[in-house]
This record gives sequence, C-alpha cells and structure tokens, in this order.
Amino acid sequence: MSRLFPKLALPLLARELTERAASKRTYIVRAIFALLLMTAFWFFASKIFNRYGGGATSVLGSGQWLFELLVIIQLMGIFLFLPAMMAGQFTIEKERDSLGLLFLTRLGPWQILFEKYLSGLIPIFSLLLLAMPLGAIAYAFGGVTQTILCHGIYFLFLTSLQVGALALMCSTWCRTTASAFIATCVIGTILYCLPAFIDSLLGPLIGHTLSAAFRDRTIGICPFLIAVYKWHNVSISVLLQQSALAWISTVLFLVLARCFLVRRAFVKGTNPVLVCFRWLDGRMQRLNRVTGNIRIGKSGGQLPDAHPIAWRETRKNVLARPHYLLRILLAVEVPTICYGFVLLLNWPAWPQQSRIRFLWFFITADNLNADLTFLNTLLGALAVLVVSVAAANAFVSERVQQTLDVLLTTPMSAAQIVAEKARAMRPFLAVVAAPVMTLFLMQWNVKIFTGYLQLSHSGAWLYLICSLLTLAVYLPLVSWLSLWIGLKMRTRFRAIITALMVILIWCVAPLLVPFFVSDAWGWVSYLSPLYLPVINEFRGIQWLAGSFAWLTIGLNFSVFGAILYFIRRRCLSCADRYLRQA
Amino acid sequence: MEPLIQIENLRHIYKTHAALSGVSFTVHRQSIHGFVGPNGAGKTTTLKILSTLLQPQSGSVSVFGQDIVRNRKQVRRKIGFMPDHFSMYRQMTVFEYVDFFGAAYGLVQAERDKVIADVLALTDMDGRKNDLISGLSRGMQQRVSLARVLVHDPDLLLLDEPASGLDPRARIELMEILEELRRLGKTIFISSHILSELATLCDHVTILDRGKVKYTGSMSGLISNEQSEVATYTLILAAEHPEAASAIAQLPGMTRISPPLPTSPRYTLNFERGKLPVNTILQTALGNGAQIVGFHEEFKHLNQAFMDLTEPGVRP
Repeated sequence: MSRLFPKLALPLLARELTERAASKRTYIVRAIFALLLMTAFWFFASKIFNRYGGGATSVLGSGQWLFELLVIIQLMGIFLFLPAMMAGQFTIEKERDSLGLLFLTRLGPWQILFEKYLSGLIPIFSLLLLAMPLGAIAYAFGGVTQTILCHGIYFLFLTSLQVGALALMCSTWCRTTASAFIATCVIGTILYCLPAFIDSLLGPLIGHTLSAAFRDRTIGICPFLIAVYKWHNVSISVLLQQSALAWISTVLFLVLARCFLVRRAFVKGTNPVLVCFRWLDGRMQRLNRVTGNIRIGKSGGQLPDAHPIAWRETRKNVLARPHYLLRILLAVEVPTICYGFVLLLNWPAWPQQSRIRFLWFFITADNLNADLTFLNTLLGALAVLVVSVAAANAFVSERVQQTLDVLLTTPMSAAQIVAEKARAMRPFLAVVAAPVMTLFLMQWNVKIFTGYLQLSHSGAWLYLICSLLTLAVYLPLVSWLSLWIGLKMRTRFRAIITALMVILIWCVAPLLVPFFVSDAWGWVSYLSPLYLPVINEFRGIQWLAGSFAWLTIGLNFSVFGAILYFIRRRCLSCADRYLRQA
Repeated sequence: MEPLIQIENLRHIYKTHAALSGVSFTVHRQSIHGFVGPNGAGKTTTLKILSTLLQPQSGSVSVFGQDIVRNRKQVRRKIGFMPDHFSMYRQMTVFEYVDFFGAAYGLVQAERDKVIADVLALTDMDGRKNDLISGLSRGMQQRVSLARVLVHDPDLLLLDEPASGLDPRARIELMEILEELRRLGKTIFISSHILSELATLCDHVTILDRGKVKYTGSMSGLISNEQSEVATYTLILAAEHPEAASAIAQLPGMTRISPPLPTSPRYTLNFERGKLPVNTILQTALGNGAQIVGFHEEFKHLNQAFMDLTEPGVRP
C-alpha cells in the first residue's frame, strides 16, 4: 500500500500504534476500562431490572434503556480516559526534544497533526468496541430501534472527536503532559458547564432562565447533554443541527492545534499563573506610587536558619507566595460570596432547579439549597483537585528539575525534607478551604433560618461541625495521600493521574459495594470519605444515625484522622527509601 | 599520603545488570583524583554511593575513615557533590540559591553571609549575585553550582562531569578554579570524559570499565612507560646528522631509530631499557659531533592509555 500510495503510508501513525502495542500500559488500561464498563453496566442493569419487577418476561423491551445506559457509561469512559491518552501526544515529543526532528521529515504539520490525532483516537475506539457484547445483550432484550442505535454510535463518535481535538489542542499549546491534561480538564469543564452556569445565574438576576431554543443550542456544545436530553424522537438531520456547536468546536480545536503546533513547538515552560501575577505585580507597583508605596508584608524576606525548604517553597513557589495566595483567595472568595448572596437573597423564589438535575443521577433528595450545594460540590472538587495536583507534584518537580540529588546530599534527613514540603502546603490548603468554608457557613445559615429538612437547632450545629471537620481532616488527608504517591513516582503525569485515580476510587468504590452485594454491607459505605459529607449535605446526619449522630461524626473523623496520621507517619519514616529509589 | 576515600570490593547491581563488580581503590588527601571510563562503566554509580545517595549493596566505602552508611550525616557535612546535571532552582537568584544550601547545611546567618561572599568571589560570580539563575549561561550556572558545593567548606569535592557541555573558555576557567581549590587544600575526585584536561589536572587516576577497575594509581605511572621494557625517547639535534644517527642505531639494545622529520632533525629512539643506558646514547651522539638540542622520554597520551585499558563494544 505504501509503495502504491506513498501519501497513505502514515509512518507516524504506524510508529505510534507500534509503540502502544509494545507498552504494557495499553493492556492494563484496556483491562481497567473493560472492568469498569462491565461492572457499571451490571450495576445499573440490575437496578433497571428490579424496577421492572424482576421477572424474565417483564424485562422484555427494556433493551432501549440498557443501550442508552451503555452509551452514557461509555461517554463517561471517554471523558475519563481520552484526555489522559491524548494529552501527551505532542508534549511527550516536546519533553524528549523529538518534535523538531518530526518537522525535518517530509511530513507536513497537518499530516503530523492528523496522524497524532488518529493514533489517539484508534485506541479509544478499540476501547469502545469492548462494549459490543454488552450492546448485543441490550439488543437481545428488544426495543433498540435503528435510530437509537445510530444515535448512540453518533454520540460516541462525536464525543471522541471533540474531546480528542480539545486534548490535542492543549497538547500542542502546553509544554508538559501534566499541564496539557489539566488544561484539557479545565477547558472541558468550563465549556460544558458554562451554559448551565449562565442559566443558573440569570434566573436570580433577571427573573427568568434562558429560552428553551437558546438552551438547546448551547447544550449542543456537549454531545453528552444531547444524549441525556435529546435521545428520543429526533431525526438524524435535527440531531446534526443540534450538535452543530460540537462539530464547530471540534474543527476549531483542530485548527488551533495546527496554529500552535509549530509556533509553540520550542517554547520554554512558562507558568501562566506566574506570568499573570507578574503582570499584575507591574501594574500594582505603578499604582502604588500614587498611594505612597504602601506595602503589606515582604515579598522576599530573609532566609531563616531553620526550615530552609519551607521558606523556599513559600517564597519562590508561585502557588505559595503570600501575596499571590492572597490574590488567589480574593479571586475565588469574592465571586463565591457574591454568588452565594445572590442566591440567598432570592432563595424563596428559587425552590427546585431542574437545570442542574443532570449532575445528580444518584441523588433524589429534596434539595432546597441545591444551588449552594452545587457550587459547594464544585468548589470542593476543585479544592481536592488542586491540592492533590500540588502535593503529588511536590517531589516529582524536584526529580524533574534534578534538584533532589543535591538536596539529599545535605545533612538534612529525608523525613525533614518531606516534613518541610508538607509544612509549606499549609497556607495553600487554608486558601483553598476558605471559599468552601464560606459556603458551608452560608448553608448553615440557610438551614437554621429555613428549617431545612426539619433540622433542629442541634441538627444545624451537627451540619456545621461535620462540614468543618470535613475540611479539617480531608484536605490534609488528600494532601498527604497525594504527597505519598508523588514520593514514589518519577514523572509528573503519572503522579497526578495516580493520585487522582486513587482518590476517586477510594471515594466511589465503597459506596457501590452495598448496591452490588446487599444492603447488609451498608457499613462499607463508611469507608468512603465521601459518605458522611454527602449524607450531611443532603439528608442530615440525624437521618442516618438518629441519636448517635455526634458519635457517628466523632468515629468517622477519628478513623480518617487515624488514616491521615498513618499516611503521614509512613511518608516520614519511609522518606529516605522513597526519595533514594533510582 | 593519607587515604581520604577507601573503597573495598564494592558491588552494585541494578536489577540484572551489574554496575559495579568488586571495585577497590583509594583517594589520597589533597590530591586531584581523576575517574574515567566509558559510558556505562559505573562512574556515576560510584559517585552516587560516595555522595551517600545510594547505599552500597556489598563491599565497604569509607570517607575520612568513617563508614558512609553508618556515619552518613557526618560524611555529608564534609563532602560537596556536584552531579552530572545542573541542579538549579531557576526562580532563585544566585545569592538566594547559595544561601539556601548554606542553610540546608546548617550554617547560621552570620556564617552564611561571610562564606557566600567568599565562594562567590572564588567562582567570580559576586558581580552576578542578584541575577536570576534562569538568565545565566551554562558556564555561569556551572560556577554557581560549584559555589553551592563549596558553601559549607567541604574537604572533599565529588564532581561528576563538571566540564561537560561547557565551551572551551568556561572549561579552562573551571579547571583554573579547581587548581585554586587544590591549593586551598581540598581533595577533588573528578569524573570526566575530557582526558586531555584530566591529564594536566590530576595527579592520580582510576580507570573503570564494565564495573571493574582497570587501573588505579598515579597519573605519571599511567602515561609513562616505566613498566615497559622498551623505552621511547626523542632526540633533537641542531641539524640533521646521519653519522651520529647511524652510530646510535648500532648501539647494543637499540631496537629502532626513526628517520628525522623533513621539517626538523628530530629522531625517535626505541631501545631496551635494561641493556642500553641513556647516557651512552648521549655520549655517542656527542662523540660523533652532533649538537644536542633536546632529549626526553616520550610519554603515552592518556587517550592511548585509556584505549589500551578499556575494551571496545557497547556497554549495557
């Protein structure tokens, strides 16, 4: 083929696929994907069967439900796996300085781009094919029409193209795989959540939500939302119209990727937050002349005799310098307070918001303060994400910069180095926790004055204490756990992905056990750090534990506090071994 | 001379590959000891063990008479390690970087201020002390790295490829700094691939290949032909003198005399060291009326010694 049609040789694609085939990780990812897919399918299918009454004949015709469910699970799989698989397409070449060599070959930038794009998409398509047997099961139950089948395939295909193009664009822009992955997650979240947020904000501000037509169009940016809302009774042509935004965004991402590919091929790693803050520094200094050079705190400060690493981390690290932290705090806290007050002031007018229902598949509680909870969950998840990334990166960055060796030849012990790194994280944890705490306090206020869920006065106090303990125990827990994982890893990308996956599995897996096995295994849910805060948020601890509510809170946080202590101790006692591993 | 580093039967294995297989050698106090070997010979592993970054799997390593495993902390205070890569915090200034490591070595503020001024002056970086490291050239960064190594006044410097990637000027300047450090009484253990510079700088050398020591001892012992039975000398005359050359060629023990170069009357003589004293050669030349301008033994170049001792082929 390559001899007859030299243009179709696709050497880069062949190399990428050969490399992937030779890597153990490809097969591990495939096995994990298959396992997650089948487990989730079994779990949800059993729930649907139970709803239909459990009889063999009663489930006939439920194939449509199963098929739609399968597509939604696969869409989630695409969101979970594709950014990680695609984000490194160009950054890995940049990290090993081989991208320039590609430009020297006869391959043009568009060809390089498309071969890389295909080499990222083919593995995800092969993962999607793993669902074929499950699709056949769904089809066997009946009810899956040709239209539904086509729609399902269309959603999967379009989502893969869109998410892949976004991750590829981030890969051409960023210098490292970790930053490309984070950029993909952040831009993707903003892109998908922006319509819902605008809708949510407009309600209290102008008195009505977005028009249905506009909402339909904005939802079109996310094939996942179309799959959730617009599955049925829509012809292919209408579906194409509704998903036009998704197609446009995909093409736009690819065009931008082509623009960035050459321009940003040899850029040095720059921290966009640092660039932004330095620009702000310049502006502030100019403004400061007017006010007579008032300075709050010192920017540098003299190096103390003790704790030099903590000093370096807090004075030289972008996310730890006091005045930069203050800016981050203000940037998050002020909008949070404003948004919270807008919601609070309009509270009685906004009881039940359907616009955010799509995020709550598993929760059926009457949710009077859904907006605050939604924002709190979003900020909480963001806090866990940034803390985990920062902590996992703490030692990997020393390895990547090759500074760890010289640090380890000083008389400081490895445990001391780890302890100082962790100590430097504290101000950052406080800043990240502040907006979440603000929202907790607002919700506590709402609960006291609205009698939400018929909470007694002590119930409101239970809510507050449980919320504060959640922050006080879980954020350091996330920090130390990620630090522990980062100590063992050699690359940023692996450290960050592993830390996030471990946290995700720890939070979700214990919650699923009672559903899979039996209700007698309900106690396993307590092993998830998420269980008590979720109950606290939606039902109140008294609903769960009655008069033992205080005891339940005490036990829960004592256990997780003990786990935190164990991880911390493990990090410190094994620091020498972890840091010295070749 | 008093030994400063003593390595006995050191072995280290990475999974299935033996990086060091019974390495033994000694480094003497106040010497510059070169450490050479092909890529993959085990140099960096040895340096990492000496700098306490790796624990030896078997064998013994002592520095200043102290075992590096049992007295790790004491050893670290006395050594300065410069790895084969720049270990720089690029967002710090030169002063902050050196100051940071001073504090990490436990120096108090007053001590640090004095020492930092000295080491920056020694490395000629005092004029750039407020510059960000990210803005420095490679040669400058290497100087900062050397200043960092010296900040706690170590007696032993372990330098892994300090001159790699530097331009000729930066390399020559670095070698001058190392000479100065020797004069200040430091012991320097230096790994390098630039053999010509090691030959002039080092007084002792260890050659490592495939995890085994091929030579350890004085540099002069390596590059001279003292152990060889056949000596090689160069005789330089004022003008070409065939009679003298012929007479020398007939001396008992003379194995070969090369014809003079077309541009200068320089003869290379090969003779059996035990049978023919050098005085006889000189007397014969003078007796035949030749005017001697120079007469000296030819040393092997370190490159040649290195090639003779190491084996060809790709290392694992």
